[in-house]
Amino acid sequence: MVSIDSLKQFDFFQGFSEEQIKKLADIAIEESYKAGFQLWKKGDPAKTLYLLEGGKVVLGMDTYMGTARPPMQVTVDIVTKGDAMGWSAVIEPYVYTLGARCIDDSKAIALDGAKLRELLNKDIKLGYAFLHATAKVIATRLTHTEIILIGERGLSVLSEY
Amino acid sequence: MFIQEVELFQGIPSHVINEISELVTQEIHPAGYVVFREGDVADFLYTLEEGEINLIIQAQKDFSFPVIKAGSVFGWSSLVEPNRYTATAECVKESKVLKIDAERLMRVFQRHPAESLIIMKRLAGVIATRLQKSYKEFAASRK
Repeated sequence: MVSIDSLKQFDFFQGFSEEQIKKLADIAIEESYKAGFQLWKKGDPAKTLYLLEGGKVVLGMDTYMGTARPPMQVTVDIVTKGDAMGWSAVIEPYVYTLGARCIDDSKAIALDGAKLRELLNKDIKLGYAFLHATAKVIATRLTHTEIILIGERGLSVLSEY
Repeated sequence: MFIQEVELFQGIPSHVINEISELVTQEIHPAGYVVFREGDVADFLYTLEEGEINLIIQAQKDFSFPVIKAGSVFGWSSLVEPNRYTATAECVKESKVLKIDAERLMRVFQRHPAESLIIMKRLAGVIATRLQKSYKEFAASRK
């Protein structure tokens, strides 16, 4: 269990009522991780949704350049203080789409996926608010990824001159 | 097309569907027509009824997502803050679309929280699908 105030600091909960935040605080726990700690890997069952209180986490994937070479780890996005991560914990098929690794000592509020899904299905108004906030997180991640992709293409076009 | 055939609204009870139906207008556009532009204020959610739409990111035609399946939704930014379209939607061929007033749809959601939860889950899934496609592009661009 964490304090209501520790959840209120996140934009994610903007517009949530005090009572709704209290229900989430009751199932949340605070965790700390050392730099280098792998929170999850791409393809793992999505068991937890996190809200980062401090530190830095990279979201990335392994790309394979052939069987003879080891996979290359590529960063897709960086999560910093105030961000939510691990949205796959509430969206079917509940499987993480990227890996997550701490690159600084980090502190996060963790919401257990199974308890969270149960709560969101039971309290439908809270469920709607939470899914709406989750949709925003996914949309933000999408915008970041597309900016990187477009930027890279722009650079590759420029480098042809 | 019936509203119940729209991917977000399948299985939603008829009394809610009837309310949503009142917010819908049908439009037919020729090939090349731009339904909305990236960065525009997103006021409407769209569903493809017939034809084909291309969602183009930052005016780069080689980086786009086709919408070809009837019942697919696009323009979901109308339901997610900051309510600005994240792509330009252009008709590849003559296309029939259903246009739904997003602000009034959000009011229907407030009146029917149980159904809204189902719809919001599906909407998040639609956005997540596009994100996954971006990740695939990303991985491919590294090879």
